[in-house]
Amino acid sequence: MEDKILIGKIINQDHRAFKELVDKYSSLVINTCKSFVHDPDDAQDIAQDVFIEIYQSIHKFREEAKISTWLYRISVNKSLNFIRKRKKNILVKSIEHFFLNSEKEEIDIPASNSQNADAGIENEERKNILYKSIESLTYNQKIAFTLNKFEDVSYKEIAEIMDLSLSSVESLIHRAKINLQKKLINYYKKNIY
Amino acid sequence: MNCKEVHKNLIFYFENELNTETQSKIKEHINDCVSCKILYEKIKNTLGIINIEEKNKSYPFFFTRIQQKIDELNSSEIKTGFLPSFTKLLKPVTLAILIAFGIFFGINLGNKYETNNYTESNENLLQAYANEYYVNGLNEETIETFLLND
Repeated sequence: MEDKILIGKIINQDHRAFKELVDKYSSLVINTCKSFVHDPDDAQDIAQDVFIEIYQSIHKFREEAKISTWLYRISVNKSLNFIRKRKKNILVKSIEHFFLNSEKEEIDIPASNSQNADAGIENEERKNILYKSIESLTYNQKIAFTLNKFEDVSYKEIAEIMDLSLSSVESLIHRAKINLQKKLINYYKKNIY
Repeated sequence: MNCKEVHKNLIFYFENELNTETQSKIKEHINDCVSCKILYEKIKNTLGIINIEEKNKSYPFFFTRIQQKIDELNSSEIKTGFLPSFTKLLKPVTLAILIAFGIFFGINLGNKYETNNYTESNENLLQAYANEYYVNGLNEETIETFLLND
């Protein structure tokens, strides 16, 4: 069914049409959320909230817009809000831990340049450094880079999602790559040499 | 091309975004320089993580969970009815009433004990009060009378 017809039916409280919309776009929404939060369970929880918001505010949807653009926008906003809350919780927990548990605990950190480390550990280390580097990008660079690289969203659609011009998106992604490169090179220089 | 220039373009080299001349110069350098080769391999493997990120296609019971959440939201709205909007309104209204009452009470209290605006009846009342409780100095026994009496 075409998206416009689907939306019209959802506005008229057609639950089957809503199910069709969810089935059609669930992987897009979940994978987008996962690209930002990097956890499949958290991504599914956020995606549920995305669809609930769609259901509750479907009457506000402008017909000339693309539903995928709207879905991407809500998914990005909700994912970034989730990351912000998670950071706050981590900070609160670390403060609590500092005051309640003053004894130093030993933490096992796997050797980063161990030649005997298996591929699984190496991949985890790569993931960690990549996600941390992406996380340290500016707000807009992070959104543009993540949508383009993880979700293969075109520059044109990113421009629509972020409400920016095409040239701004190009520049954002270019700067994101330069910053990411700097961070990765700095990290590996410290660990190799 | 030196190492510094190569480091500046590694990500673009990896993504094949440079012109053919620069691509081949970097390729040549990487083949000759051991440290740049190691660095390139590390960055290539790290950026390669993006392409091997697991992309699931099906999510069983996903719609059922959304439906359940929507039902819960609807039922909680029915239960509370107009209460959420009422409680939202109640707070500022109560605060406004309390402030207005405070101002009114303050003005009334101030008027009641105002000292500069005596009326005649107030004067008489004060005099009677003073006499009763020996506040008036003239009605008090002087020290001489007190000594003479003894």
